[in-house]
Amino acid sequence: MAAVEEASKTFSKKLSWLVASENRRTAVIVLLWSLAIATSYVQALVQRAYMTLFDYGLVLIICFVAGAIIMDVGRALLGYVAAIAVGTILLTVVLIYPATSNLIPYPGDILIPSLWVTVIFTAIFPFPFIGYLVATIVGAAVGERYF
Amino acid sequence: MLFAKTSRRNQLTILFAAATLVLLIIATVGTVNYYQFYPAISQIQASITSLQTSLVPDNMGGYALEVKVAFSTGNPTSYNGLFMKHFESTYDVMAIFSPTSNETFTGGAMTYNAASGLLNPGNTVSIVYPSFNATGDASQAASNPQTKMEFIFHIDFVLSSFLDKVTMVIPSYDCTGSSGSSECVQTGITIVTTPGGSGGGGGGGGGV
Repeated sequence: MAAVEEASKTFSKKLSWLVASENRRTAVIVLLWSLAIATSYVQALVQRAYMTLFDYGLVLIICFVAGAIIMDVGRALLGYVAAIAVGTILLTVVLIYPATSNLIPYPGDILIPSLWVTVIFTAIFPFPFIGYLVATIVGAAVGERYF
Repeated sequence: MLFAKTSRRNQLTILFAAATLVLLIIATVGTVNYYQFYPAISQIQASITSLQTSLVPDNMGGYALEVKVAFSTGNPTSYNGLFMKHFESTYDVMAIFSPTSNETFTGGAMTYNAASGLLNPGNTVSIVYPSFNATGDASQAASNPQTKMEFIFHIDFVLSSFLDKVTMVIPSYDCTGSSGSSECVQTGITIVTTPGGSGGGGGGGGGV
């Protein structure tokens, strides 16, 4: 029992170090945020190649929560831009990488990556991008008020 | 216990990290399957499971070459999520008179076949054609017992997949055989962007 308590204290200390300063906390949140955006999109697109309302809702909640944790509208906006950029790059790499192998003959090997770029672009821009931005700002405002 | 003592902001951070981890696991499962998609469409197997030919008297006093053929398709990879639909085939008949002399007769399109089915790992879909008479020239050539007849079936089928909203995947094969069973060789994969989807222009195939 004491060992478990000790281990959880150590774990807690390590976690505290990660969020000890605002800059460190923002960096951790942006990293998690971009991962969460990328994985939400990946799980939807590899199943049906389009986003459902549920998937969009999931990303909206992620942005709201991330904004609330950052608790600063300015930082949250910058964080959102960084997270969506990193998330989109990650998503594009994950989806396109296997299509660039030699398994698909020309011109399919060019067509499929360009199709993915179109699918990703239309799944993010313009309305979802704006929606996530609003969710982030609202989240940051709520965080500032309640935390 | 410690979780309850920590601030609400830190609690939310921990929950956020946990949710990201859950999403990561879900996405990884889907991605592992997705990474098998391209090997799957390039390795989908097609074969002639049975090919029987016989000369039967026709109502013009001659002979007709009656053909009975069945195909099968299978997925040798571990990819889940492929469905075979719209199987189509055309055929040619090659009459081999001697090792140095042959003639190919164009047979044309075979009748529509409504066979379809899931191509999950281990599944095979059978496509059985009702017997049909080969083109008249081929029947004439086949009536000579010295002539060896060989059939070349050009098959293609539409694969339904998670990409249905943006593209159709159509692998093509050439199957050659004179009787019994034989494997087909994939000759290309056609990628066609779906009307109304978010894709651009058409796609093409190519030799594999």
